[in-house]
Amino acid sequence: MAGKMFRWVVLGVFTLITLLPLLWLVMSSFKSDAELFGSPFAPPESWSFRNYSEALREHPLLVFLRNSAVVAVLATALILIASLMASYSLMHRFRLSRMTFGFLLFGILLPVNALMTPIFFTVNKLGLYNTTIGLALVYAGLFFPLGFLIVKTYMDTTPMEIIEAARVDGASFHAIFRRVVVPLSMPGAATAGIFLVITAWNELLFASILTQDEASQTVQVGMRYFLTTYAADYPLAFAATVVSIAPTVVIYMILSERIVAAMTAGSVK
Amino acid sequence: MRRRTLIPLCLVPAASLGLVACGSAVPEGQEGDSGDGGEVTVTVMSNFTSDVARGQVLDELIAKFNEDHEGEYQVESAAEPDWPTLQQKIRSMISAGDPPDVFLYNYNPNDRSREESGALMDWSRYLDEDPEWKARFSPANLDAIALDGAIPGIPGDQAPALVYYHSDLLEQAGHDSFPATWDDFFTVAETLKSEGVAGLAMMTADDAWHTMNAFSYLATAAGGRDAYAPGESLDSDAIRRAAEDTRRLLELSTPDAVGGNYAVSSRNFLAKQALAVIDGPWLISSIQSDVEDPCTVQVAPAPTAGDGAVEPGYTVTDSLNVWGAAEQADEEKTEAVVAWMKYFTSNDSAVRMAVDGEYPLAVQTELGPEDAERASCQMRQVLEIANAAPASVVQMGREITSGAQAQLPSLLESLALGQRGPDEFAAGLQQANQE
Repeated sequence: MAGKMFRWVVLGVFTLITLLPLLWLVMSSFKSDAELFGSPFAPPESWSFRNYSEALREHPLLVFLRNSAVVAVLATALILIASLMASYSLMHRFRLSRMTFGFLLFGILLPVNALMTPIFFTVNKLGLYNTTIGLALVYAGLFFPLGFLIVKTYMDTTPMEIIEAARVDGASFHAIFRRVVVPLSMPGAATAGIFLVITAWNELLFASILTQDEASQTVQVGMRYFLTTYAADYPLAFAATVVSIAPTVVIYMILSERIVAAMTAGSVK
Repeated sequence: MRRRTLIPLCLVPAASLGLVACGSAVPEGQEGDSGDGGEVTVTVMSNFTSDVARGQVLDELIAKFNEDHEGEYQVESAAEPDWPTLQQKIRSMISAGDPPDVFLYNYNPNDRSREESGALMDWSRYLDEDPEWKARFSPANLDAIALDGAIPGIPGDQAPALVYYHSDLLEQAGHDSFPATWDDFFTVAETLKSEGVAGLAMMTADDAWHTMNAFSYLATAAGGRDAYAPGESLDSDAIRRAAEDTRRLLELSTPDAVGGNYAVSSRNFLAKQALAVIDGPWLISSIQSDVEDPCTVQVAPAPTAGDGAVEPGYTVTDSLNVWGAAEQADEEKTEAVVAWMKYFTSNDSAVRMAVDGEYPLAVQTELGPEDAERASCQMRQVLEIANAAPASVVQMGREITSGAQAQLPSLLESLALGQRGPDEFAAGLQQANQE
């Protein structure tokens, strides 16, 4: 009984620690500036959507959201396609396969800040500076090791007997990949996809450096228009923050079971 | 199974590419140097976003310039709201060999990497060709920017950090005018503290701007104008005394001063939770919009020690911000850049920036009677104080090495929390400044 009680207390404390800042953020997004600084923890006098409409009016939040979605989805799709193919090839032993595996994962060890200038140079020379497609390609390169690691770990749990059986049935190397390996790896790819979308959605450094105007900026960059060096309207910024985090929160809420299931699916053979 | 797998794999990138095509992000007119009709396009990169007063004025000046040079030049503003990101982006662009056409950067005598890159335009020829234009800039500023006989930038602004205070709160503490000495200020701050109002709005996060303004005034009040001049040891009596007084100021400040950032500190001042703040003129637009009766906020020079170590009325200033420009292969584009900078630094533009943009430029700015009438109550006082200042000193946080700048927040916080005394603070700062 005491053990059960302890578990509930721990769960309750963690839930509070996790939810309170989020709830406070949502509550504050309905307040006026004076209310926020006068009584920061009291509920708003009225639950008006004024801050939300003003945030949407002052800066093109919907354009920022669209850009974030395009960049996150495109980068994730490219990474998943490349990760599935790379992982499949590495299911087979060939000369330098271990080195290839290490090479593909090497990016995880690199400090991304050190890559800023060469990446800027490359993107600029390709004529992709200030474009969402340029940013998506950079994310595809930067986050590939993360996606590859998740997909490969999951794909390695595919029973070799199934692949052997497909081969005996006359399936070619590519047919096995398309018809057997990819469908069986979908839970792992879905997990990687969710992580990649969230990572790309939240990235700020390269989004700041590689985009210039509101037509190409992502929501994380656009958020800073509300909190500049010299001026800050917190309730407005909080309303914009709620709008910006809503998609990732919704994705996580809908797919949380899937994420957990997929993360643990590869752990037991 | 095959179809179910392949269709989403193909659809997702296709849909994304479709959306990219719908919402093309390449800004019009930025694909090349020439816009429609053979105009030369010049992009101006700054932190003058259109939601702040100086950004609105910049946009208006650009519109007027473009109208005057229709078919010839086209200037476009590329504003980045976050100053550190803007500086990082400019550095990346210079390193990549493709600097922005015109850009605003912070001059740092300890870091001339941007000027030394060889990618910046040398303005000396254009300044020498037009002595009247050259005379608009302070020779000291031009000398500071000069490098090996070249002038790789045009002085942009050098804002004075002055005391902005709520005159009604000061009257509440029994004073008609802002204290002339720090001792008197501490007396006022202690009186107000008992009424729940902080003396000075302060902060320790980021570059600790407000706190370092106070620190710089305290250090120069104690040790004179050279208290922290380059080459001087920071492990000195003046710095120790400034550290002790800063600790007292932090005690008398708002509870969120330790760990707070610029926005928190300025908000505390605007919400009258603090009597005063030491800040630059960009605060004026917030005063105008957020304080119920804006003219109750007055501006004053900072106090001195009252012992003659520095002249009363002297000012501490922000570092000089400089307009740099990319070295152009195209002579026509160079002419466009020069034409824009001459227009932007003209007296008319400088008056517009000062009066309507609350942003005085580092050029001779002569207000006409109508301009003076139109200027906010604070801007009039800022210009009066800056013009009458017998001397000015650059703020200490802008003069120390980048390593020491990085350690400032933790040094100040440990001072405020009593983990480090003034002696250890001065020794720590000196050590950080030498690394």
